[in-house]
Amino acid sequence: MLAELAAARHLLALLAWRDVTVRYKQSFLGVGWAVVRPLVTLVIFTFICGGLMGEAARTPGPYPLFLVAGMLPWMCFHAALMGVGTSLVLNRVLVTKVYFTRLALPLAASATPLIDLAVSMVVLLGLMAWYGGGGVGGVLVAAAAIGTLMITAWAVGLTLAAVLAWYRDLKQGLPFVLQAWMFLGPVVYDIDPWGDSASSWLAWLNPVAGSIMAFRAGVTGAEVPWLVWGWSVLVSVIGLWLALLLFSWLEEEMGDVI
Amino acid sequence: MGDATPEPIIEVEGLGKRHRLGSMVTWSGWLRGLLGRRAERETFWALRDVSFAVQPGEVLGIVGHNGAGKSTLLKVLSGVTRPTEGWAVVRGKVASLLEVGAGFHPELTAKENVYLTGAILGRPPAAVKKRFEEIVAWAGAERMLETPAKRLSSGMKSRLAFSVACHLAPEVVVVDEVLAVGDQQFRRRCCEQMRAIAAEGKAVLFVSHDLGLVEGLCDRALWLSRGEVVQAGPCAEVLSAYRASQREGGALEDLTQAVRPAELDRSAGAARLIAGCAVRNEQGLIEAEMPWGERVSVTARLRGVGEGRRWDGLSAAVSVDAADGARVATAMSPATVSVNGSSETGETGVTVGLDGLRLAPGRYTVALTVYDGATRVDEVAHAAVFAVVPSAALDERLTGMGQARVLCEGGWKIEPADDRGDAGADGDVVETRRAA
Repeated sequence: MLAELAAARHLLALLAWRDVTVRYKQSFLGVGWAVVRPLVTLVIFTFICGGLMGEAARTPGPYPLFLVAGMLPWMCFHAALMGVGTSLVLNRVLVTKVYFTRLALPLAASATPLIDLAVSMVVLLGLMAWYGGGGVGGVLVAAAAIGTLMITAWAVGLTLAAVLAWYRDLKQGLPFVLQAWMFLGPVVYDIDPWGDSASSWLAWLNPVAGSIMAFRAGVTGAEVPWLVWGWSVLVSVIGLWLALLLFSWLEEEMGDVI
Repeated sequence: MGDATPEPIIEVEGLGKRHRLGSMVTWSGWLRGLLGRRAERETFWALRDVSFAVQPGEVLGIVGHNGAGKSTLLKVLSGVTRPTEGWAVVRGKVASLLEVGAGFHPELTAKENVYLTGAILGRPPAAVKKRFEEIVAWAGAERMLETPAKRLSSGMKSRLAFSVACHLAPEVVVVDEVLAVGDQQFRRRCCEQMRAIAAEGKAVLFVSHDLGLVEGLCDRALWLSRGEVVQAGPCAEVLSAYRASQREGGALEDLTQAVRPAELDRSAGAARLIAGCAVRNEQGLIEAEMPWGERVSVTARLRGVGEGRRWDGLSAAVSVDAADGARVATAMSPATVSVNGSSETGETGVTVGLDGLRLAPGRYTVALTVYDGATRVDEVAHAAVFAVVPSAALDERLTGMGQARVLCEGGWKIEPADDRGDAGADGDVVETRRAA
């Protein structure tokens, strides 16, 4: 599998480059969207959760920084999951005509969310400068957290990509699942993994919780929740391994069914 | 095709691909599977028992009706799908030319798409860059490089796609019906380019419904029908047989341009007289498939256009060859056939009814020969193709006894061994055949 990926590295690079280029071609704001989106989310959620629901009182530190530090990794995860998951179906012309390792398509699809994230970091860096956040060590933790978040995105996305080749309609259900998933994690509100409220369980059941909490801890300079993060990574790595097994098992038939 | 052929670039042996019919997975089917009652889904063979080889430097044409298995074969060769049985070896990489613009992204510029297409063909950007000028010049796209693909004409897109594929061709190039668009000149240039690729020792697989194009380009051809190889061999032979089979509803195959054996010397009196051939069923309809037991007749149409003279006393011979080339039957008309070469439209029809010939189920080729006395004036070896298929009238025990080509009706006389005196004599002949 690795040798095949190495052989397809140029294609992988060009496909990734294609996805990124196409995303911002013929658009008014171009890369600016990567900044506008988190800003708008920031305003909406600060108003609803921070103001109306009083969530701000329960989060450690200033709510805008807390929110964006959770929203950015989640948006990256969301986009990566969708991109990886739909990559085969979107490129079915290639899949049914040319042979290259199918893994190149999902892998290439994960480049765009990462670049979006990098641009969106402008917003976060601004908030960090304003409110004060983690130092260089914290940024390194945040970068590592994005890495582990991608493992989770690949695990779920690869499974989805393989399954979507058979059941195209499952794509319709994705937005609801992802929305529920977001609210079942520490994105807009805080979860204490060691508390005894019902939501504490979510930190352990939701495989993205650990990475998002680690990202946020790095950015805000709080203590890194190593145990929850480690647990998320362990679950995700096992998930990715299973997803790769499933993917390579279904790969043979993909050219026929997709 | 000498004896010491180099190692083939493509080798296919006993290749078969089975598809399942109907929707891929349904809830009911899934539930049944869960309950251990695996419903036997209907399957069909998209390819069955296909064997052939392609040598380096060869252009192989693949012809057949829609659904004959051409695309499945190409998919197997390019590795997109795995065969159900048999094997296919390709010594080298395969580049499939995608349908016009399919590999192109509409938002990317022509230049960007060239690099992308190169990558799809497995070439790194550096390799594309090296031949970029040539690629663009061949397509005539110098002034379009920064134009998004969505604003390019379909002709330009196919020129560019073809140019990339040709200039960066790996060992095997697959061209599947991509030249359908584009004008005559473009097609001619494409053919030249494909010839050039073959001349480099690569192999080209060319799929097209445009038989003229196949004829002009390919050395050899493979004719597929319902997933099986009907005929493979020199292009002209395969195509004339394929054309012969394509006739429907009374259309007669034009054989005026068909290949003639090399030994027919025009200076020694040979002429192109055979203009067409038809295989008819009992109702006189032209048919490519005959149920067993049907009375088959073969009509040869003779015309001497352009020869400027008249022939008298010719005889026409109709031969039937089995799929393996063995001659099964020959019939010769009386030497009373006349052909008027000065008339533009007048055709002489010679029909022979193959009544007594009860061919076993299988595929057969019809060969036509025209004799003037002892001289062979004209001959077409693959004038028509037809198949005999099993029917209700066929006693299956007969075909179960080995590969007999003719199932004889016979006139049976069975004499009972009882003591009824002379009762078993004349009049007691029992017909066993044609009972059904």
